[in-house]
Order: sequence, then C-alpha cells, then structure tokens
Amino acid sequence: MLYRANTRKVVKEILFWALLGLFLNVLLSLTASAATYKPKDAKIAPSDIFAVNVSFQVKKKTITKAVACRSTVPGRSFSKKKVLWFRSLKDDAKLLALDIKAASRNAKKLASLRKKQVELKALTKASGAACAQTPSSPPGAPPSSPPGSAPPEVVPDASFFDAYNGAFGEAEARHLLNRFGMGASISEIELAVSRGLAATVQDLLTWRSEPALEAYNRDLECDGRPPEDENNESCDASNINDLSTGGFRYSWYNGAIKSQNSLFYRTFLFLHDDFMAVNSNVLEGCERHALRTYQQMMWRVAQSGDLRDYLKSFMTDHLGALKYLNLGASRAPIPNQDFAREFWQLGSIGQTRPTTGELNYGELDIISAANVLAGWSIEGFQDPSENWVCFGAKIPGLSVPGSHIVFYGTPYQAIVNNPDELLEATLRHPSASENIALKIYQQFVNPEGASAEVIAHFARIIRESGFNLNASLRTLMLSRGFFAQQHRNSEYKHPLQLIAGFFRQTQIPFDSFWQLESIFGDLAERPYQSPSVFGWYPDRLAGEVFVLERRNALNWLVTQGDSFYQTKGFSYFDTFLQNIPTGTPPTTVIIQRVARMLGVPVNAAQIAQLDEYMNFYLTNSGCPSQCGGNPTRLVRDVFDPYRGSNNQNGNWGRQLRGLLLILASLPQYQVN
Amino acid sequence: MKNLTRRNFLKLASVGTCGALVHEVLEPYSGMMAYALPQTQSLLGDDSVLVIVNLAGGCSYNIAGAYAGAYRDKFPNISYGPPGSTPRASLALSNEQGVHPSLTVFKSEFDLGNLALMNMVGLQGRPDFGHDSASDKWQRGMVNGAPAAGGWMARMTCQLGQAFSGISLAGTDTFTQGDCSPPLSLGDLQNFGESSFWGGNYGTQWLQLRRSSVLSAADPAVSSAERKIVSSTSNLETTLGTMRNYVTAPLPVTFPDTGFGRACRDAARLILARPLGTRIIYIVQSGFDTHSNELATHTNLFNQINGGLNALVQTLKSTNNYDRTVIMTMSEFGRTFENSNRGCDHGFASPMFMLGGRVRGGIHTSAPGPQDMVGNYIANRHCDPREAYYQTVAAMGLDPDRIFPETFSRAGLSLFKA
Repeated sequence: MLYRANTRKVVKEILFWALLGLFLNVLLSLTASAATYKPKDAKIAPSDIFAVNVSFQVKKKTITKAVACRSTVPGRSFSKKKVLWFRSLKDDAKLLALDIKAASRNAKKLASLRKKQVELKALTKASGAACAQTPSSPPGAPPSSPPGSAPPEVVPDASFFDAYNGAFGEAEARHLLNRFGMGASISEIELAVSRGLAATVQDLLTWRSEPALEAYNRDLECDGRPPEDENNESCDASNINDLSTGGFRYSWYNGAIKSQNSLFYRTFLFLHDDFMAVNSNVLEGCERHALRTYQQMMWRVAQSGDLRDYLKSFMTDHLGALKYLNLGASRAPIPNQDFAREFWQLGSIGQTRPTTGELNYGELDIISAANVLAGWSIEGFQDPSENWVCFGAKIPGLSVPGSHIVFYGTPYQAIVNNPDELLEATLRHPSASENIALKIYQQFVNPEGASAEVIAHFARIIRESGFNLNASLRTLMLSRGFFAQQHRNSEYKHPLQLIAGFFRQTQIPFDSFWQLESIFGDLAERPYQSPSVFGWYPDRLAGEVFVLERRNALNWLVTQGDSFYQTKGFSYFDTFLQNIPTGTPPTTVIIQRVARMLGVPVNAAQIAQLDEYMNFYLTNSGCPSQCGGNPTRLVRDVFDPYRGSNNQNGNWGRQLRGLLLILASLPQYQVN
Repeated sequence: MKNLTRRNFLKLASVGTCGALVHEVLEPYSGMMAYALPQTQSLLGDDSVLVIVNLAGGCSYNIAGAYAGAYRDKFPNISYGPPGSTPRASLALSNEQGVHPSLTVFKSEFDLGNLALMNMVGLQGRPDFGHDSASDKWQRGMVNGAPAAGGWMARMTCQLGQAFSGISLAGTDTFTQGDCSPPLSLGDLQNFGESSFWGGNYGTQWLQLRRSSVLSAADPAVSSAERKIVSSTSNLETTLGTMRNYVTAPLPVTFPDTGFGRACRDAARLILARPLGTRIIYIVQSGFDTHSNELATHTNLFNQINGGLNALVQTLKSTNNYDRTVIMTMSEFGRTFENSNRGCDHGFASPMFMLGGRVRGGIHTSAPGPQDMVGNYIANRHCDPREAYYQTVAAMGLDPDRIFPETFSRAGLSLFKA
C-alpha cells in the first residue's frame, strides 16, 4: 500500500513538475521569440544595387567601408543558396541590438558588440548621404566645370574607392563616356554634365530597347545586306544556319556607332576580348547557328553583368568552348586540355594570383579540370528541310568518370564531379575575383595595372556583388580613383572605339558596311574574329603600322563626295561651319570647334599652324622660277565657308577635312 | 705568339677584364652602343641579314612529314607519302622524309645544298601548349627569363644600334619589343606612303607638312600610352623620309600579290637597300592553327609561302645577295597527331628550316621514328631552336651570349659552309 501510495504521489509529483516544465518552456520560447527580429531582407538582382565607399570617424579614427545602396537605402548584399539578398543597415542595427541584449552576461562579448554598434551607427549616418547621391536624386545638382578649368587630382590608392565628389564638367563627362562607352558627341557630353555623374552612370547602365535598330541589325545578320539594299533577302526560318557571319560583324559596327546602349557594346567587347576570345572562322556550314547563340549569350551577359552566367554558359558554348577552344574534341581517355587551360588562365583565375604572384594551378590541376569537362562530341543531323545541323553533345561514354581534385595541395583544394562544381570551386578561389578585378581595372581604368591594395579592395566589391560586372563597373564609375589624373589618357583606343567614336563625335555618316569591314580589317580588329585566344593586343595596335593605318582609315571616311552626304542627309556645312560669330577669324572658331568635338587640346602654336593650313595651299605652279628656286610655294587662299563647295575642289571642303584629319592624328586622340 | 705562361695569362686576363669594365662604365654617347662589338670579320659578313619567317599558330609536322608507317599511321588522312604515292606525295628530301608538295623552293634549295632541315625542334623544358605563352618563349629566346626581357630580335638590334637595323614587316610582337633600340615596325612598304588626300600630290603634301608641324608643336605627352603613340608617330615620320630614298628601286622578279608575297617583296627591298644597314627582318604568315581541315589549309598557306620565298630567293641570287642572307623559320609549337576533324591540336616538337647561300644544306637531325610516336604528339626533342639562332647571330658577327643568355643543351649542329 505504502508503496502504491508513494508511487501515486511520485507520479503526481512528476506530472506536476513536467507540466510546470512544459509551461515554463512555452513561456520561455514565447519570451524569446518576442526578443527576436526578422529582418526585411530583399531578394535582388545585382543591378538593383550599387556600391559606394563611405568614410566615417570613430574615436577620431577614420574608417572606410564599402556599402551597398539600394536606391537611397544603405545596406549590404550577401549570397544565400546562390541568390543575392539585400539587408539594410537599419536591420543590421536592430539585430545587433538584440545580440547585445542577449550577451548582457558576457562582458567580453558585450564590449565587442558595443564597439560594433558604435561603428554601425556612424556608418549608417554617413551612408545615408552617400546613397542619396543616386540617380533618384534630382538631376542638375552636381557642379560642373568648364573644360580644362582645373587639373584633375592625383588620388592615392588608399582613397581609390572613395565616392567621387569633385567637379563633373566636360572633361570628366568625356572621360566617363569614352571609357564606358564608344565615344560621345558634344550634345551627349553636355547632357551628361547637366544630369550629373550619378544620373549619367545610371543612364549608362540602363539598357534601352531600340526596336528599329534591332530589326535593322537582325536583317543585316541574315545575309549581310541592309534592308535598303535591293538584293536584301529575308532569313529562311526553316534553316537555323541561314545567317551571314559577315552580317553579324556589320550589325555590331552599326550598333557601336548608332546605339544608345554604348556601355553594353563596350562590355561586350571587353568580355569578347579580355576573357575567352573567339573566331567565327572555325565554324563549319552546319554550325553557323553557334554564332547567333554566342552573340545572344554575350548580350544577355552584357546586360545583366552576371559573370557567373557568362562562365557557365561559355563552358558549353559551341563556338567558344567546343570549337574555338577544342572542348568539342575533348574526350576520354586523354581529354584535350585547351579549354580547361583557357577557362582558368583567360576566363577566371589567371595563371598567378594578382596580389601575391603565387601560381594558381599546376599541370595536374589542368588534367583534373580537363577530365571534369571532357566528354563532348560534335554530332550532325539533317533537319526536316534536309539542312545539315551540327551541335555539341555530351556523351557519357566519352566522359572521364569519377571525382577529380583541383587546386591540389592549396587551401582552395576541392573535389569536383561536374562542370558546375568546377565553376564554383573556381569562383571560391580568391584569384577569381582578384583576376577579374585586374582585368576590369586594366580595361576601364589603367592598362598598366593596379596595386595589390586596389585589386584586393576591388576584388571584395566584385565578390560582394555576386560577380556582377555592371555593379562593379558602377562602383568604378563613381569612384574618386577613376577620375584621378594618373588614369586620364592612359588607354589606347581600340580601333573599334576609335572609328565608332569618330562617327559618334562628328556625326559623319559612313559609306557602307563593306567600307567598315575593310577598315577594321586594316586595323586588325573585327568582332568575332580575334587573332588569338588572347584577343587583341592594345600595345601592338599602337605601333607604327597602325598609326599609318588609322590615318588612312580616317582619310577614307571623310573623303566622300558631296552627293554621298546629301543622300545621307548630312551636311559638312551645317555640322561644322554654322553660327560662326562675326568679328572672329572663322578658322580660329572652326579649329576650336573641331578640337572640342574630338576632345583634343590644342595650344596657341598649334592653332597658328592649323590656321595657316586652312588659309593657304601648296602648289608647284610657276616654280621654280617664281618660287626662289624651290619646287613648290604656298599661295594664300583665305578660308571662306561661303565660297566654293563642299568637295575636293572647293576652298573649304578640302581644308575642313584636312583639319579633321590633322586633329584626329594627334596622339591625344589615339588615347582615352 | 708569346708562350702563354701563367704570368702572361694573368696579364692578358687583367687587361681584358679592365677593358671590359671601361667599356661598361664609360658609356659612349649612346647607351645602345655600349654593347657594340669590335669590328671583326664575321663568317657571313658584317652586312649579313637574317630573315625570320614566323609560321604563326603552331605549324604541324606535315610541312616535312616522315614516310615511316609509324608516322603515317598517326596522320592517316593528312600526311604525305614518298613521290609516286597516292593520293598524296611530298617532295622527297631523303628516303625518310619530304617537304609539302607546295614548297618547291625548299626542295630546289635543298637539292642545291642551300637548305638545312632540323627535325624535332623544341624549346628545352616542359611543352607549352598556349599560343601566346609558347610564342613568347620562342620570341624571347628564353624559357625561364622574365617577360620584361623582350624579344631576341630586339636584343639583336640593341647590339647593332642603328635606326634601321631591325625591321618588322609584321607589326609589333614580343619578338620586336625591347627597351634598347627596338626594331621598327613598318608594315607594307608599297603602302608606306599613306593614302593620298584631296587636292592631288600637293594637297597630300600640304596636309602631311602641316600635320608634322602641328605634331611637333604639341604639349608634352602626359601618359605612357600617349608617349608610346608619340614615339610610334615620330618613328613613322622619320622612317617615311629615309626609307623612300632607298626602297623604291625596281626589283628583278615579280612577287605574288598576297600578304606574304608583299612581305617578301619588302624584305627583298630592304636587303637590297644596303645603306639602310638592315640586319634582321621579321615576317609572318599566320593561319597555322590547323585544328581542322589541315590539308586544304596547308596547301593554301604553303602556296603563299612558296611564292613569296621563291621570289625572294631568286631576287637575292640574281643580285648577289644570297650569300649574305639567312632565312629561318619559327613556329610556337608543333602539333598533335591527327584529330577527328582532320586537323591537329597543340603539340610540341616541329621541323625547322634554314635557307641561304652559306647555309650548309642537308638534314641535320633525324626524322621522327616509331620511338617518337608515343602519346598524343611528338614529345621528344633533337635540338633546341636557340642552337640554330645562336649559331646564326654568331656567324653574323654579333655576340650570341648577350642575345641568348640562357643556357640550353646543344646537339652540335654545324649549320654554315666554311
């Protein structure tokens, strides 16, 4: 009995305590949930944010941190399950406050969190102003300066990524539009100055639909003939290989000269040239469709800026990987290594780590990567219209099975089973962001490279953007370093930029696509036809041969007859000679006008020389007897826009074109 | 001659060392002349000229394929058999190998004893399958040297030190880059004078004159890119003037109107224009990256090469300049055996040719045999290309150790007639 009574008591007691425990647990959990805070993280696209460097002071110490701005809201971006998220600094502050509350019994942790809180508060305060300098702020606010009014500052590396707060005048707008576009006319530069830096940057980064241009270009891509050509043909919709590889180049030229999406042409060229270049000559007739796929991939990436997408797509691209870099012939037991090699060397991490000089991979790693990527074959079949179509197919029997180790013996060693894992292992390697940072820097800021400090900082920005090119470019465009004196005029203009820029600046029309094709052939730069996997070599394009070829190309562009320009609705007179103020020698006005148009500085001595050029001509008439024994003499023939005609015999037609050619031959015009 | 005692040896060594020090420390007026050699009679003469023909892209072994079954099995659809073979026969150089049937000038010069063929040539060290990195090594003449070392052509012109010592007719390249008196890059001499402008000769001349003065009056360049353009522009202006005086003489032979033909024509003009003092000329035929369809590509390329080189050789012979000229090939790597696209991928060892009146003709290293047909490409090496280049620049009277400072193994080639 006693035992039973005791048992009952014990059971009751246990029940009591169990219920009490349950109640307390529920209470505790409710209390705890009341103390948590769910931040309003937002799923974003990389182009939804931009990065700014914010400097603030804590205990008299200046700290600089990169902040992501979503519109005017400061915060930070992070990746979770391959999705990019944004969290505001305010949310971070709320979470930190809860952490502080939770850590109230841990003095050491508490002190550390409080320190963070002070920093975060100062950062939040300073970031508000920085993010407010966004495109959503009213245009026209930034100050402008007349060209050449103040020399640009020299910016130390430590301040490179500080937000640019200097003047945004004509010189700065030109620098921005030249580097991140294909050159700009005076009206485009003036518009940029009036809109201010932030709005101009946003304009550059916004893709504009251009239905008429796109339709025109699609037509060109079918048969290489523009719609106005009487022999123009439509594409045969039943044959995916019915396209003109020349037409694809023509459409590229046309867009580079006419499109408003100038930045995207520039980034297309950058990806095409500085990552893994291609040459469409490798395509057989049954594979020509691969050029269209490649082009679509490049435009998609140029618009989104998503470098992960680029690398992933390139890994299976028929033109780029399978044909040009031989992946299509890579199969067990000895896979071809060309693509594996170039995927790392050119497309991602480079041979050595930019900030340390360490070798990134060895031959064994290449073999592993080649094994992972192998297994392709190029197969052909006849479509219902009996056209042959070839495509790349991954054949399991040609693959190298199993797991493969890459970056063996390094902290970044990884076991990879498929190309996706290889890509992720590659992007985890610190050299990926550093090498891409270096490429972007060399292309858009200074080809001579950057310090390890700048590269490391920029690499972090690239990683935080989720390897987004456009977000990274935005940071560069808004940085103090980009506008620094030491980076002005530091890049050779690529032939494509030079010629497209000349057309954009002067509005002079071109004769035909055949003319452009010939010019770009002479200048050794045709899109989709890289001379090697390394793309083009700017240093080589600056050699003597190309100085001469550029002169000849520009000569050809400006020496069309009057009737040609009339058919194109263009007038040299209207463009260059209108509204010359009275009381000023017309030649002085014209020289300065054309120099401004081309963005080249001219000093007084040069103006005097040019003035003489325009008011005299050289002849052998009456020589040597009337020429002091010389074979030629100069004859004064005052430049008169209202006399003669716009052709080679007219007084001003020839001299005006000569002026254009002389100014465009100046070294300052050959660089950006 | 005095007996060479230890004391005399020390005296001589001291004088030599001090002399060399004086040469290094008391630099003459021009830095580049510090390396100039004392004038001594060289094997090929002090006005000898080297023409380097770059077969860019990596030339396949089928330029001079072997006849052995082991070789032909590796290239079932794109190799050539001995004369009389069907469907493809090469021009026999020996019982073991022949040159591509389009290269008739190679065959005729070989028969005359003026063409040397070196088999299985490759740079010492690990094979490099990257176009650019392999080209850089060939063109720098260094396997381990820093990229900043520049090209060995530029190191030659640095020793020669004259404005026209080296001319590239193929643009600028690693080969032509260097800090000290680098070669001029001129392109096509026929179009050397630029396109004419409106207003006839005098309209063009007036534009050119005034452009020169506007360029001269420019403010100093502010960036290195600008300085490079200024330098290229200035080189061009200087060169335009001087060259016109020398390179316009008519040639005894008509050259093919192809890119390579024009380059050979201009090389001939430069060699004939002795007062210019040109000693090394660089020309390129690209397109050898034959991953597919090699037969047709090779035939097209070798027809161009044969046309150009044949006209060059005939010109040099008829003007008595062949004995002072050496024509040598380079190509960044050999290629793999035949792939499924009837082409070849990136490989290693390749054949190398040398022509000239003083070249000791013959096959200097043996053709690839069965033992070399292992793996995916010819991985064995009989000689390093630098041995041939080294001997040539030495025969031209230059200091080869300054041009090829890296040590490399030698096959003991003897490439020149006594």
